Amino acid sequence: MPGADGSLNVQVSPAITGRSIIRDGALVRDEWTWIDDDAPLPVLTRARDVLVSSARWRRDRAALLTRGGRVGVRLQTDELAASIADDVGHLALIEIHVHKFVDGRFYTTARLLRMRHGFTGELRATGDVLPDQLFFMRRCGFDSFELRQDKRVETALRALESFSVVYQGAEDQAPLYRRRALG
Amino acid sequence: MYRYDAHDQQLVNERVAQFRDQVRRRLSGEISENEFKPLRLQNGLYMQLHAYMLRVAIPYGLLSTAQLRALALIARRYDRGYAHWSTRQNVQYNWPKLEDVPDILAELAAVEMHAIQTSGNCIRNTTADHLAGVARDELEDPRPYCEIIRQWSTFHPEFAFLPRKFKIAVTGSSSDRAAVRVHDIGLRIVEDPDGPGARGFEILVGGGLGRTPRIARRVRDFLPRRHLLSYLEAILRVYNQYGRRDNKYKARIKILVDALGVDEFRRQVEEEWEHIRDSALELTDEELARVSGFFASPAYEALESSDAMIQGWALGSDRAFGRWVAANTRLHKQPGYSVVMISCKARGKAPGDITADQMDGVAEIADAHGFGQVVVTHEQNLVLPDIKSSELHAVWRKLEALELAEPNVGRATDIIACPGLDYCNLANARSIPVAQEISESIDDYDYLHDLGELTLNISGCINACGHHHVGNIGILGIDKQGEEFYQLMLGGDAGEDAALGKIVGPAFQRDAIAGAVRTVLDLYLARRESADERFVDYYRRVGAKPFKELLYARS
Amino acid sequence: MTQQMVTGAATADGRPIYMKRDHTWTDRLADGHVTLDQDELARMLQSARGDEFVVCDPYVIEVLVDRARPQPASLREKIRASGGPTIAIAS
Repeated sequence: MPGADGSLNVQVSPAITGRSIIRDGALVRDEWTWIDDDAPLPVLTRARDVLVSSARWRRDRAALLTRGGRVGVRLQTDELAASIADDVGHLALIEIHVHKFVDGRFYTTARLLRMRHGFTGELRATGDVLPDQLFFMRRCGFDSFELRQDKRVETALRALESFSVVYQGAEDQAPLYRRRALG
Repeated sequence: MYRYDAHDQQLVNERVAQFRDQVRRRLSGEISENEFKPLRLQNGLYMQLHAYMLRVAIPYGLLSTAQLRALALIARRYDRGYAHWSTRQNVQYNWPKLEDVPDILAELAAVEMHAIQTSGNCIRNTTADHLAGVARDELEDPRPYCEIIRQWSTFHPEFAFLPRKFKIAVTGSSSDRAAVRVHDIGLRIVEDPDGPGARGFEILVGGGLGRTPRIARRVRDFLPRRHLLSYLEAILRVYNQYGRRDNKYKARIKILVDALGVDEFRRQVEEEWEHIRDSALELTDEELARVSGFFASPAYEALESSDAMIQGWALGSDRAFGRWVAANTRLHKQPGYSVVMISCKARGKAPGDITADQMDGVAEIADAHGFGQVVVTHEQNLVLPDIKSSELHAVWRKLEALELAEPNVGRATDIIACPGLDYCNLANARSIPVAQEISESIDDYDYLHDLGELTLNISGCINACGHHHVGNIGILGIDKQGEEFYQLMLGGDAGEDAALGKIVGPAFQRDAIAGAVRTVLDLYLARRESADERFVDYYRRVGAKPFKELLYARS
Repeated sequence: MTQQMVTGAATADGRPIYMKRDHTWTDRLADGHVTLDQDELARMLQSARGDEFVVCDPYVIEVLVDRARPQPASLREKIRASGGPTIAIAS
């Protein structure tokens, strides 16, 4: 069934969408299927794990929760952590679409989702995702990244290892002054 | 002073490697200039009018002589033999080549320095009172806190892409020499009003100059010091989420404080802070002790007070030395010692510029007569913090030989000036030639000293890097149909009585601005109540009216 | 009369450079290509923007042509073209 833009997104399997995700230091095939806001929810055999917008999530929450597969929500840069805070327990994936890499609101969104709202699922960055910001993103709680298409995966994997020392606490480590004290 | 351990060193070494890789990718075409720009800016690398400009961080202005010599070496090997002290206690090189910058950073890393976050929309170098550790009116040395803030803010993953740049200043004295009220966050070390002996911070937020000058608003009267980082993080988190990003001229935190009102802003910060105040962000006594230990006083000799001797020299028959003592030394907390202020404002020279040979010469003096430390001031001068008063004459002689003994610190010719249109990509008008012309027009030292304490600040555009709003006399260069004009402001003050200067009237042409300044100075001298009434006091008493009348009488 | 040319900062060291008729670059403003043709300027600018190995942030400037010698119209561009600040540098 054609989507709003005429694409056959509902029938497209992950293998065909070809989204590649950096996760745990490697490039892996994405298992999630994006569903446009006005496309019908696919049956489970077509797509098990579906990713929707926050608007779709709010509209079709009951149907999404009862269809059997896992549910993920995509936030835009201007959708801050508070907008999804009450729902994080239902979600296996939160994807933040980075509108422009210099708009750093999403770093706080990520940290608050993790430390304040207790989100333990996969936190993914997509959109204007460039190698040189991945290190910061991971420290803020992101664990998967869809690199902007024109960027090199090798550079990204290298950039993730830029620093072996960090001063301040974040979602990965306690502040250095608390670790220094341990020797 | 703070010394790197293996962690600190590893971090700056890895930064050099990271930036080397970024430059390589830029030069190979893997990243575009638009993508490279924020990366190079976060490393202090600007594109200016004639060349790249590299701004190197000098945390809270403090340098060892080894570091100062390294800065001299970089000036010779990679630049044109000189450098420029910035108005935020940093140093700038005006002519580096892109491919050399990774090597310059490696030279810096070898002496425990870097250029991290000296530009970009991130937390910048934390500045401090340049008399920290030696001032008589100091409650507590602010530098340990500055170093703790430096480490917290360095590559803070959440705050690398803020709405706009973010500047923090700290003072531990009653006299505010750090201009804390015109910073995004100003911290004043104060006693706990409820528990004498306990120290903490008064928190001021939303000060700043630029297009929308603001004096900071008080957000908290007292914050126990162990909560320093959690409170800063709460402020930054509120700002990062709600600061404007649609218009760079409305993106500073002062605009958010304006929009919310200080009470609502405070409420949001406190609400955020309640969540994190008892987290791992709470400073440990061990860390405070570890960092404070680096700033312990050096091994002073037990000496008699030298105050009377200094007073005698200042008024003595050796007028050249006496003038220098009066203007360029400050009383030290330790009996028998003095603070020497080195003027980088020689008459007719570019304010804040220093040659590599001068840097080496200052390092030699600091080693021979002090404890191997030099401080950069936000007024673009240097400080030798610990000089035995009995050696002042010898130090003065050596500074004279280096052409660094201009007796004008804190006086009208100690002009703060941004690089202006001579170097800067953003400027609308030149600053340096105006500063030169004004300093050359005040060619009589008796007149200069008669004028007494006075600040004169020049910016070449509205971004206000020359802090013109807070000069007792402020000059702002503007462009009127391709011609340089200069607005004159009076009454600004960066200190504890912080005030923004007011424009006195229509702007002056390039060839008239120095004369207008002279008119202002002459009027003040003629009409002040006594020599004790400083320029800014006189202005506060009489206002702009007499100045206006005289300045615009003939037109 | 006022004409225009394309300038930018050299990627290698940030020095001002000027586009020639053949879309290569010169350090000398006098050797840069001067034109009134807006279509040609647009082509020059587009070409310059695709030339990031050589130039950063290219833009159009106004020049006054006097006896076949172009002079920058603005003070800013005069200072740029002069190769350094208008004041003596520290030495």
